[in-house]
Formats: sequence, structure tokens, C-alpha cells
Amino acid sequence: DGEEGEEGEKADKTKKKAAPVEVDFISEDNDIDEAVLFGRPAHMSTLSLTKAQQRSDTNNLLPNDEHFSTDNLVKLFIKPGKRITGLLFKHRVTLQSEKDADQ
Amino acid sequence: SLLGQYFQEAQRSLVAQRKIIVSMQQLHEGAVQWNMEEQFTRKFLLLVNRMLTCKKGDKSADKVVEFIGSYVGRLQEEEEDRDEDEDDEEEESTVASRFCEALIRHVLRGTQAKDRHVRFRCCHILSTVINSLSDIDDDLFEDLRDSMFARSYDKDASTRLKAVLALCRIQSSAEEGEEESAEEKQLQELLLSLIQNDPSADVRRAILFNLKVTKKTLPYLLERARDTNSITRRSVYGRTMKSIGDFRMLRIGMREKLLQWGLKDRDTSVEQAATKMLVTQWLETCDGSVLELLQRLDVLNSTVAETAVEIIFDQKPQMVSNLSFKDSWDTLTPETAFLARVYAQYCLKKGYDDLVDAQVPEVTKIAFFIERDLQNLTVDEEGYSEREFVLEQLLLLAQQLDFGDEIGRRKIVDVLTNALTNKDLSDTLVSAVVNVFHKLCTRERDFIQVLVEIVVDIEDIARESEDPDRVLCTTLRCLAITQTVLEQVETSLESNVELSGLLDSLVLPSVRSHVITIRERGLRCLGLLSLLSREQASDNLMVFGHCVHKGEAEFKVEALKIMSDILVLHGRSVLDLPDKVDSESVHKLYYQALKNADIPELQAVAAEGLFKLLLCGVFSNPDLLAGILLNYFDPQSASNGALKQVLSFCIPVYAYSRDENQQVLGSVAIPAIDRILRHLEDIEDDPLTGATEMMQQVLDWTDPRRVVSITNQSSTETTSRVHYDLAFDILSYLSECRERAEHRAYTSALTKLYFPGLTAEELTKLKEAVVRCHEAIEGIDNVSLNAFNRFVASVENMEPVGVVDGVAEKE
Repeated sequence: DGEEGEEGEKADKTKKKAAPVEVDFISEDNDIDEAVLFGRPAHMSTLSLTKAQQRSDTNNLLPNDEHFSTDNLVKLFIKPGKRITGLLFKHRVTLQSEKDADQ
Repeated sequence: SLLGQYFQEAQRSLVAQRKIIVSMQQLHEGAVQWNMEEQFTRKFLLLVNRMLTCKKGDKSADKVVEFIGSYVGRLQEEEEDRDEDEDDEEEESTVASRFCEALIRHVLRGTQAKDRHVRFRCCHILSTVINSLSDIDDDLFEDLRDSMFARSYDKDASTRLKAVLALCRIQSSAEEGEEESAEEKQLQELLLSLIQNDPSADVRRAILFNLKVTKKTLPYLLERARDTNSITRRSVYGRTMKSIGDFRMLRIGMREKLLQWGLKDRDTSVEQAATKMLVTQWLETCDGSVLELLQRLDVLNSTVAETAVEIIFDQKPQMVSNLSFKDSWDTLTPETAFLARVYAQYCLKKGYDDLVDAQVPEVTKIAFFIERDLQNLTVDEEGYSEREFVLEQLLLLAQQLDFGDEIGRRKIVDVLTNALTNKDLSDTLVSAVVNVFHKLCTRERDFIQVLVEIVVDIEDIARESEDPDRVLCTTLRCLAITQTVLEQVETSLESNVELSGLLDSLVLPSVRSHVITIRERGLRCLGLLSLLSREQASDNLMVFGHCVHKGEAEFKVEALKIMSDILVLHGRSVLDLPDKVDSESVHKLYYQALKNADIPELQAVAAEGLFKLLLCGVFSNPDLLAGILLNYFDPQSASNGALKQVLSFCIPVYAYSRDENQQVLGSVAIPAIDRILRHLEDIEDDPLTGATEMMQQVLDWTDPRRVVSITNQSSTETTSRVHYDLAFDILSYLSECRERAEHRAYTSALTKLYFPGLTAEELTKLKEAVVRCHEAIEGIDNVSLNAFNRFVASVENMEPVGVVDGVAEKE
């Protein structure tokens, strides 16, 4: 069976350096204090996710994609075959001429 | 010590571990013989202790865990061999079971350690050995299981990952249909809950890879095709579907959904994985037959079948050349008709005209097929939907073909005229028929003339009937024809007297009908007519406005769409005329619609319409922008997905398209944020958490460097004062707010503002505002104060630029 699969981690920077750090199993009298090693926190609840963190309102799913794009902006609602060219500039001309008329 | 050396070497190489394990086993056996079993175990565990603080990613530690797992596995193998030999039924403890129990007991101590690395490594070890623990005490196994349950909610994601792997490895091995124990059910429930709710994508993916595939779990697995993480989504199309093997195990609805989601996923890696699944797995399951694949989908209702077929054609050009429809035409099924149509469409698009000539019959033949199928079409008969679908495909096909042949043209015109006039066709078919006429008629005048004649004929026939249902039917059909015609017409209403005739005889009466469906269609037709005539548009705007204001939900939506189209097309020329609708009222209409949370579709239409009008300059009122921002930042609108997507897309497009747009946005942004924050304070417990994010978005939208430049001015040389103006608003609100979240958000924003070269006068004004703010600030925290001081310092250090002849110049 498989484990985590790809995780998208960054490139392993240690490849170019020396061999990976080793754990010391050799030296005697280097044993770890188990009271510290297995020492518990004051409150066990600090080890866990909060109730809020345990739940995802969306089940960690993307919302439905409406595929909204500039295509929507240059088409009409009820006449989709018709494209509005120059959407950004068409009525700018009108505005400019209206401004001139106002002065 | 020897054991120490074994561990030391084991952490270096997996390959070397095999020999080491053999040696260690001998050492272990020797210890047992010499009554030193406990010392061996004790020493072993002390060595294990030394790597428990190694964090995730430590390769040496990983190898040690492998080592431990392999050793336990080896012990178990030996036990099994021995059992086979001796046929020993006694429940004595063995070396293996005693060792494992000691190991488990020891490692379990670390699963609740304060140090997260220790918890991680302990779970790592436990998940590695859990499959090899056949002989341990039931209570101990129970403790182990409970521990993994608890760690699957650990704060540390890596720990949760290992715990979850451990749990996956003790899933029930019962066959489908066999009864599961209560514990097994509980385990499955947990895994199903975690795959949906765990915050870490890695954990969710681990469950995806290791959860047993059953009828119950399948939907949960496939649902991950919409997981927020793209690697997870991609894995569903690759690994998961491959392990399922035959896509026919999925319900048809699920097959459609998977294709829909995958082939249109915005992430290319997911899209590619879905394509690969379709073309290499699904198609192969169907022996390479596209037709059979289509039969496994729901072509009648599919939104993705066409895309899927085209993708297959793209990937398999050989298939395109070899497809043959020779015998299909006489007895078309929905799948063959669909495939033929899409095939013809595809070949014409690619320029494979010879293929079309070879495989598709001439227009005359097609006309014959259409005529035959129309005659056989009886409503309410079994198989109606399928026959209607086939007809639709034939009509769509006809739209693509060449009507050079005069006899073919005549034939098809006759067939279709007859059908429209005398048959009770559905909207889909009416639309398809009219579109064929559109292709047939070279001039728009002819197109309109022919179809208006048909409508008049239909009305004449209906008038002779006394049956009100008949009249209803025919009116609806006439409206359907009119609608499709108007959707295609480009020339103005004034130059088409026939259409004006229809307006009076059919459309206006329909708009006033007491039958809702007729009113709906009448409204749509009136809207389409208004697009063709400025006069009609300004006359009818009142009607549409009234609909938006007072109508039923569907009418509101429809009318707002129509209004938006009218305003985009005709511009402000239809507003503010005497006795006609004024701009102010229209602004209000949009604003109200945008806020109408009861009708999500209306909100989305209002947003889309508003932006079209803002972009083309028909609207320019800053209040509209303020309303949009309020809406965007209001957490309530998060529930309207379509609205959120429209706004997320359009606000930056609007802002970056022009300096002036950014300025308008900037002028209303800070007051809008303040208003939202005040609103949140009233309704939420932790209201101000989003303040910094909101400010950041506003800064992005108003960043002058991001405006698409239409002149040759490079974006780094922009002289836009948007952020400069924004500074005054920020300073003003900063001086008055008292909450830490606001102080943080505003001061952080100040440090990110972009100023072009400022004149001396501008700098002075800014410095004065800074001073005023500084004097008025109260209760500010250190982080915010530091940010503020950084901003003050940078302003102090700014050099003014001189202004010579109206052109700014550095001094």
C-alpha cells in the first residue's frame, strides 16, 4: 500500500551538503531522560485540534466553478451570440463628448 | 554495545538492514537463552528513545523506523513458521509477542508527550508495526487503537498523518456484504469524517489512498475530485480511478460529474489527469469504441459529452480518420446521432472536408431523415425524448452543411416550414429549426420574412380553433419562434416592418397575458426587440424596471438581464429622457438587487450587469462601487458562490483597466471597510479578524502600478495619486479607531503604499495629516506603533519634485 504520495515539497537543499545528520546510538551514558521525553502538557486538550478546527464547513471542497471570464463581460445576457466590441472604450467617447457639451 | 552499533548502521542504509536484522535476531535469541531477554528489550527501547525527538523529514530517523518495523515483521514471520511446524495451540506468550508488547507499551507513552516530534515519531513507529502484531494482548491492541483514534485529531499534521495510516492498516478485511463489527464500523466512520474535515491536504490524501473501496466509501473517495488541493484532485483521476479499475462500477451520474469536474478543472495538471483517465482508461474499457463510451454516459442530458468526444478526437487522430457511419443513418440512436453530429462539427472545424464528404450524407438525404423522424414524433409516446434528441442532432448537423444544392435547399425548407407550422415542437426543436432557416437564408430580410409568415400562418390556423389549450400552445410556439429569430437578427427594428407587426400582434399582448409562461416569453421577446430599437428601449425601460422592482423572482432576474443588455447596447441615450426612466432610479434598482440575499441569482446578475455598465462608462456613480465593496466584504455573501466569483473577477478587472476607475475605488474603499467592520462588531464574536486581509485587497486593487497602460508609459513611472489619496483616509480612520485589529490593519497598510514623486505642496499636506493622526491616536499596540513610525520616517525622507510648466521634474 502507499503512504502520502507526492507532497510537493521544495527541492531538497541538503543534497549538495554532507551526509544527513546521524543519531548517536553509540556513546554510552547518553540515554534520554524519559520523564522529559514523555513529559505531558499541563492540559491534554492542548495537543488536539479545537472543535472548530476539526470541522470544515465546505468539506474542504472547492465551490462550484461558474467559469466566469472576460467572455461573460463582452456578451449580452439574452443575446449571447452578440459580442460587444470595445466594451472598455465605446461609451468613453460618449462621456468625453458629453463633458465637452457641458462646458 | 552491539545493539548500539546495529542501530547506528541501520540508520545509514536500508539495504544493510537485512543483514543487521539477522544478527540482531541471533543476539536476541542468545539473550533469551541466557535469561537476559528483558535486558535486551530494555536496551533496545533506550536506543529507540534516542531518535524519538527527530523531526519529520529526518532521513536517518526514518530509516530507523523502517528498521524497527522490519525487525518486528521478521519476528512475526519466525513465529508463524514455528507455529506451522509445531502445531502448537497453546496460548503461551512468545518471544515475539513479549517483545512487541513491550515495544508498544513503551512507545504508547510518547503519544501524549508535550513534544510534537515525539508524538510524531511514536505514531510513525506504531503505524509501521501495526500490521505485524498478530499475537499481542487484546487489551493492549485496544489501547493502541484508542491512541491512534485520539492522535488522528492531534494538532500536528504529521502526527495525524501517521495515526491515520495506522488506522487505515487495521481496516476490516471483510468482503463486501459480510457483516462488520461495531469497532470496524466505528473506524470507518472516523476515516470518512476525516477525509472530509481534516485541515491538512496530506492527511486527506493519505486516507484517499488507503481507504478500502466499498459501495459506501466510493462516493467519499470520488468527492475528493473537488478537493481544494490540486494534488489530491489529480490523484482521484489517476491513482484512485486506476485502483477501481472499471469505470462502469460508478453510477452514470458520477461518471458525468467526474468528467465535468476534471475536464474543466482550472489546474492543468488535474485537467491532464482527467484527460488521461478518459482516453487511456475509460476508452480502453470500451475497447476503444467512442460509441460504447457514449452509451455509458447520459448523452441526452450531458453537459460534458461533447467536450469529452472532442478531447478524444484530439488525442486519437487515427480514430477520426477511421470512424465510419455508413450503416448508422437509417436507424439513428441518440448516441450515434450525437457522435455523427459532433464528428461532422469537429471535421469541419479542422478542415477535414473530405472526411465529411465521405461519412455524412448530402443535404437532401438529411432532409429526408428529418422529415421521416418528424412524422414519427408523437408526444407522450414512449421513447419521445430519445427521438426528439436524435432530431435535434440532425438539425444541428444540418446547420453545419452546405446548401449549394438547390433541390436539397427546397426540400429542407418545405420540411421545416411544414414542421414549424403544423407540429407541436418543443422549444429545443423550434430553436434548432429556426437556426437552420438562418443558415439557409443568405439575407436577413428573407430570414425574417419567411419566419414571420410562418408565425402568421400558425396564428391563422389557431384562430379557427375554439380550443383554448390549442391557442395557448400555438401562442407559446409563436413566441418561441419569435425569440429565436430575434436572437439572430442584427438589423434595426425600424428597417423591419414585419417585426414591428409581430411586436403589436403577438409580443405586446403576451406581456399582458394572465398566463405566466406567456408573460415570461413575451417579456423576453420584448427585451430582444428593445435591443433592436432605441425608441422601444427607452419606452419599455419602465416596464422592465417595474418587473425588477415588483415582479416574481424569475421575472426580476429576467428583467434585470434585459435592462443590463439595453443599457450596455444603447448606453445612456435611453435614460433621463422626459417622462422616461432616470439614472438615479436605475442605480437604486441595481443596488437593491445586489443586496437581495433571498434571490442569489439576482445578486449575481446585478453584479455582472453593474460591472458591464461601469466598464463601458454608462454608470460612474461612486456609491455603486461602495455598495459593491460592502457586498464583497460582507461574510453573508460568501454563501452566494456565483456572486463571489463574479465580484472576485470583476473588481480587479475594473480597477486595473483605468486610472480613473482606481481613483473611484480608492475614494470609497476605506469608508466601506469601516462600515463593514462596524457591522461585524454587531453580529459576530470575533469580528475584526478579516481587517488586515480586507485592507490588503484594497491596496492590491488600488496599486497604481497594476493598471494596464494604454499609453507607452511604463507602469513603474506612473504618476497616479491613488495611494496618496488613500493615505489621508487611512490616517483619518487610524486616528479614531480603538481596536487592535484595526490599528494593525491600517498601520500595516500605510507601510505598503506606493507614492510617485510628490510635489512640495503635496508632501506638506501629507506630513500635516500624519501629525494630526499622531496626536489623536490612542491605545495603540507596539507592533502597530512601529509600523506607523516606519511610515512616518519614510515620509520624512521623501524628496519633493519640482513642478515646471505643469510637468513634474525631480529637483
